[in-house]
Amino acid sequence: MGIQHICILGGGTAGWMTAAALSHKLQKSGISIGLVESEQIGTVGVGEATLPHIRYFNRALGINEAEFMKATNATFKLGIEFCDWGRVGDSYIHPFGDFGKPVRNIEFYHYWNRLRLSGHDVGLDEYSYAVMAAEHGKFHLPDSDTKKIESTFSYAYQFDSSLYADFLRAFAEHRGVKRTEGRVIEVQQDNATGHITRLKLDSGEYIAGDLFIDCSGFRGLLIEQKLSAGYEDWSEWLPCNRAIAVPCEASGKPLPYTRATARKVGWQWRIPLQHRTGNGYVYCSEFVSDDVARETLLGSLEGNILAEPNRLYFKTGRRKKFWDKNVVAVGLSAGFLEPLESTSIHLIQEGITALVELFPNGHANDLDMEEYNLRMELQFERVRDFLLLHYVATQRDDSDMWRYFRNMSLPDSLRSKIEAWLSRGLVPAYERGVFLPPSWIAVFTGQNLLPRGYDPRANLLSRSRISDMAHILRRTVRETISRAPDHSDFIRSYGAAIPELVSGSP
Amino acid sequence: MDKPVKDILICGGGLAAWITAAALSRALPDEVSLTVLDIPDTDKFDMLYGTVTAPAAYGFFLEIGLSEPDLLRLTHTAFSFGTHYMQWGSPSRSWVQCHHLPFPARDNVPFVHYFTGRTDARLEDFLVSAQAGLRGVFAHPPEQARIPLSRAEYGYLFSPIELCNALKSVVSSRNITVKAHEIRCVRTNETGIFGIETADEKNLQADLFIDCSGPDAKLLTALNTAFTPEREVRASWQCLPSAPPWPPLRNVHGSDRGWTAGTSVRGQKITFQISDTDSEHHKSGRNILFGKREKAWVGNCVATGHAASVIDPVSPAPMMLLQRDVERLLGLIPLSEDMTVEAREYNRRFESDFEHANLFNQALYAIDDAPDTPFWQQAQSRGDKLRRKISQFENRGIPVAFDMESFNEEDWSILHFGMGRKIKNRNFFAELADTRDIDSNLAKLKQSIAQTVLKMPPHHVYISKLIAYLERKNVGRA
Ligand SMILES: Cc1cc2nc3c(=O)[nH]c(=O)nc-3n(C[C@H](O)[C@H](O)[C@H](O)COP(=O)(O)OP(=O)(O)OC[C@H]3O[C@@H](n4cnc5c(N)ncnc54)[C@H](O)[C@@H]3O)c2cc1C
Repeated sequence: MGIQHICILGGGTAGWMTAAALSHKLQKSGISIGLVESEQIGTVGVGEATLPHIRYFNRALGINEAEFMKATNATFKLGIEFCDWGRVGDSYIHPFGDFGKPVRNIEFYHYWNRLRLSGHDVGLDEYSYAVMAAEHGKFHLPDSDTKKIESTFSYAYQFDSSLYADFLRAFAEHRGVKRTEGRVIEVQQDNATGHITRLKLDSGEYIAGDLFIDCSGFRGLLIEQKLSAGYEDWSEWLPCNRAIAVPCEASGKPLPYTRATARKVGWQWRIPLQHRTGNGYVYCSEFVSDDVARETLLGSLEGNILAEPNRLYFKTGRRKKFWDKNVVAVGLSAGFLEPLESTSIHLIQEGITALVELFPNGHANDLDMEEYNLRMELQFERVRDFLLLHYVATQRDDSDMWRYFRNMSLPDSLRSKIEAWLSRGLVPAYERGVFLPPSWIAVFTGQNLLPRGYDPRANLLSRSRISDMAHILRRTVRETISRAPDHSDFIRSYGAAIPELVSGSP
Repeated sequence: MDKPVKDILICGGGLAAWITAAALSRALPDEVSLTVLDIPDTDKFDMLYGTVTAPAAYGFFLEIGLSEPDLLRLTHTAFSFGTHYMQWGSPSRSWVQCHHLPFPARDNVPFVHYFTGRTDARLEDFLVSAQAGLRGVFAHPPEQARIPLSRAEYGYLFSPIELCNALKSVVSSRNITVKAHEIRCVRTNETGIFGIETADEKNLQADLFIDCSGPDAKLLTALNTAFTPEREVRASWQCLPSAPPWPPLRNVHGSDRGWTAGTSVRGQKITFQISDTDSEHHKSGRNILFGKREKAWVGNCVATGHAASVIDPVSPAPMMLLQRDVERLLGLIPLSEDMTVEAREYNRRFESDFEHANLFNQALYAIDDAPDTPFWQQAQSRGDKLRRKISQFENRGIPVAFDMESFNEEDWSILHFGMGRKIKNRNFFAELADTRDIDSNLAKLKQSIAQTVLKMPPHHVYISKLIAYLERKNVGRA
């Protein structure tokens, strides 16, 4: 006899994504799924920007895109605009898409580097369809014909995370997930195995389970407070440890991208939804006080605030064991990496995917756990290096925080990546991990780390041919985008607009 | 300040040297001068590249200027659906290690799980490339996804000596200087090599030296780069004329003392034998050390092929690694005298390519009740990664994959099944799936494969017709 009952603790994004996915996948299995959450405790209530992979998550559940967007006030997201990261006054977009297309098997950016080193001063982003579309506030779905320039990008969403949780809750409850409202006040374990057996709620009710998914947020009620799985602290590399978040009224049409503006201490996000804008300031308490952080945030909003600012405390790092005994930690309980590249929901998704793939028939064993843990470890580490890149690929030294990063000794893997890029425009690639070479290139070039050389194979074409090729590419991008629909118009014509957007009021 | 790389000297005269020369000649602009120092006799170990390639060779050869029609015209190369391992480690273990595109999955259930806990169905019965290989038939896999043959992939059966000659003729049409001499001495200083003195007392200089001198690695050795041996074997080979039919598979027969591979290229059969080093038993052979250089790029000297590593030709691993060496080098042609970044990246990837290709070979020998003979016992080796691959497969049929492996998930699944590894715990979703539905699907698949294979021509007939067609159309070089 194996798993009969799964108990998910927590009803935030992680809890409901897990509930939705498992209830869908386990439909015919006879396994019952319960979810416990406490309104009194609430959720973190942030986490509104996503990565393109979430589309596969939704699609696998058979979710209709327009319906989902309408239900969550979602907008499309083509990338993230980074302001003031390389130097104050700079900005660039890290797109979900490529920079041109390979020519004779050599990536376009090598040709661009060649042109640049001989005096051509057009930014790489002008060759990216996703960047240009974002800058012009345009959006449409990627073309399925891979020969067309309109196919060279991907997209994600910006949505209201509590509405997404509600949406998934309806989905999951419809598929039999039993939700229990209540606060867990005691966690009971089996004496012999140390496995968790049941949770006691403040109502006196007990919730039993064979497998527990800990989605209880930062506290890690089961994985840490009960099982002491341990935490690998990465604040030495990513020292920001607080955030303050607040939604405000939108000004103008919603943009199809998120913005992350670097500050003297930390950085500020801006996430445009259909009906409002999400804002937050991520900072490091060692370098700035909470009050100053609050003022910085409130002083730079584009509209009236719509709720009281919400303070959040965290420590960057990951759980040493994501799966221990009969508990799998998914979401903030598994670890935290600052939302600079909108990776948290993606890591939730990776966790769920790995769990489904390794889902035990019968009881879980050590090998299942080992595999799950190794996979998640790699995912977390690779995201960490990429986030750190943003802080160290910079010319800023206008505060203690930026000077801290200047003097930091980097993980070897990251240091050699930067050196390879600077010396010859090389981006060592990996297969397992979210961020592929175009993402690294976007950040490198956007933050003024420009290579001294390029792949000599780019010399096989004459400079004038490359220059013509680049010119045509740029023109094609521009012309195609001029014909593309405006982002809000597209949302409306797609049937994904909420009433406010239809009437055009925001 | 930066002195660009203008002169490249390739030292060696075997397959590694000419593959490297062919690749560089296509990838570099004419301003870079390429010289091959064709050292006599460096091809004497070329047979250790094995006589099979994986499917990736097609695109690679094309890229280095050797199209398939050229390959067929210039050599006796034949097609390969894989390797047939027979009596492997025990008299009853045999399977076709075929090349195949990703397996079909239904209802969340990975294909391999249809075979868990069953004795009446074997994976290879449902793989068109295995079935065609066993029947000795061949045709190019078509593009149309609905036809079963479209799932097959193929590599080549070839003679390394012929391939080397073919490459020479392809490359010679480009501006390459060839000098044929022995190396008398390699002059080194703290930054690397500053000259190679040849037997005719010339001193050859270059900005980048490529060591293709075979297992001795004459250049790297001069730079004091150690070789890390893995194990020693005794190997011998011979070529004899042979009449059709030529199976589109390499055969590898296991025995207590080692194994014997038979590869039929057109008109010839190449036999390759490996055993333990007891020379009483295997008189004709020579001792070979498998292993790798501690570093494959040192200073201004980089090695490809056997000068970098010698790996067991029990699988297509040797050709895969040679291809990887060359591709890695192509992406890292240095820009100046300072080659630190290039060397570091080359070595990092070399390390991981070798490790991953070697995992596959090690997995072929990882048999719990392997014969209690020196050959099989010396071949046992299980590090963490291999343990993880095997234990995860046996636990729940989970494929464990690492970054940039040459052998893909299908290769590994076929290997595990072929070796007789059993999945202990049935996949959760397979348990939920309707068995009758699965059975009827499998039956249909098996039938359509059987029908397909029946319609395919014998391998040798297909090749003769193809060559006649190419000649008629004058495809390939005149
Ligand atoms: C400042 C900030 C910005 C972020 N921005 C992004 C972003 O842009 N993109 C992105 O992908 N991610 C972002 N994230 C991360 C994202 O918010 C989280 O990954 C996501 O919300 C998942 O949270 P969770 O469900 O794990 O935890 P929570 O939302 O904290 O949910 C915890 C749940 O557990 C329940 N619970 C806890 N204790 C008990 C108890 N004792 N009894 C009963 N129930 C209990 C709570 O009631 C709640 O339902 C951000 C995070 C922060 C801090």
